[in-house]
Amino acid sequence: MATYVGGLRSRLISDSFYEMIRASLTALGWFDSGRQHSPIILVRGDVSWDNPTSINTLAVSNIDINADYMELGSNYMEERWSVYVDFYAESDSLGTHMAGDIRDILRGKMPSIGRSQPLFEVLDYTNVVNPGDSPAFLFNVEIEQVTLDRAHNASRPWQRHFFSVSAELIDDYGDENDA
Amino acid sequence: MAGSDPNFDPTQFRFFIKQTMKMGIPTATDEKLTWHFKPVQDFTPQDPALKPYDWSTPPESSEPGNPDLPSGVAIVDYALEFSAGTSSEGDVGRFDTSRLKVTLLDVDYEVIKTADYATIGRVYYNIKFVAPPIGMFSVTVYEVHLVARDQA
Repeated sequence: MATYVGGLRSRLISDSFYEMIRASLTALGWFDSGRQHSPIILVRGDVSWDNPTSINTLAVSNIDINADYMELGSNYMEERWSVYVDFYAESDSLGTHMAGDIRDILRGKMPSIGRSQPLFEVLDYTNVVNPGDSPAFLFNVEIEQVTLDRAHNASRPWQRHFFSVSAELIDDYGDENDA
Repeated sequence: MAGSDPNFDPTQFRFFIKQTMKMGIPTATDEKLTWHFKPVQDFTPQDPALKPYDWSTPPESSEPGNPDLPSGVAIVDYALEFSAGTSSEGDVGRFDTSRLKVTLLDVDYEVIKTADYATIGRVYYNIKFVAPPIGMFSVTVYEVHLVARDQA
């Protein structure tokens, strides 16, 4: 099978990253019922401008991709994706807790939920045809530069409990003839 | 502040003002300005902000934020002036921080004065401040200013 490149590779990385975040937070119980906070609403980052925004919305988005050539004379490249997980929390306590969990999910500090390394598996969702099919493993993408940030002296009410975790995803590949 | 006039009938005045307010209030409950009183909850263990460290643990005790309102919510008569405010956008969506200027009579202000926040539908409004009250002889009129916390 040829190595995935181009837009399909990008989509599978993006989808796998989102799914890793969703699965990790599910394993930590963030989406369970009966918890002492308003429900967590997980969305992809490309939220429409007129989409309702509710308390405890968590948005996963990737914006910038920068590429560097890794080998002289070859097409081997390292692509660095900038990803953001933004959380619009109902309180500082909840925002701090969620943002801290996401940071350590990305840094691989939670072996109990399968997050033991700062990387994630990119899966081949193109082979999921029927419900219950498991996507095949394709390759790993490393996670670096995990940073937790929040607004200081927030000038707008919605920024008061706004938390953002950013990271860089490292994807190394040459071309579709990679072994 | 308020003066007095023996010819002024506060009961009648309040009745007509409240009738006027009722005329301007939507009939659907979720379109009305609703005042909320956070329950006083005690978690074990809990942080200095009185939030649990384990979000799956129910509170040890929970008392209404306002003992006179066990439901934790109140809807009173009001006159409302809406302004669109500013709009800004983040990755989680767009925020329209609209503003409300809410006029209340003293009897209704007494009911909601310890509220923690207000809502109209799914939009949360923070209570920013109360303007200096206005006297109408023995009746006092309050003006409460609110700012939307989000857009929904």
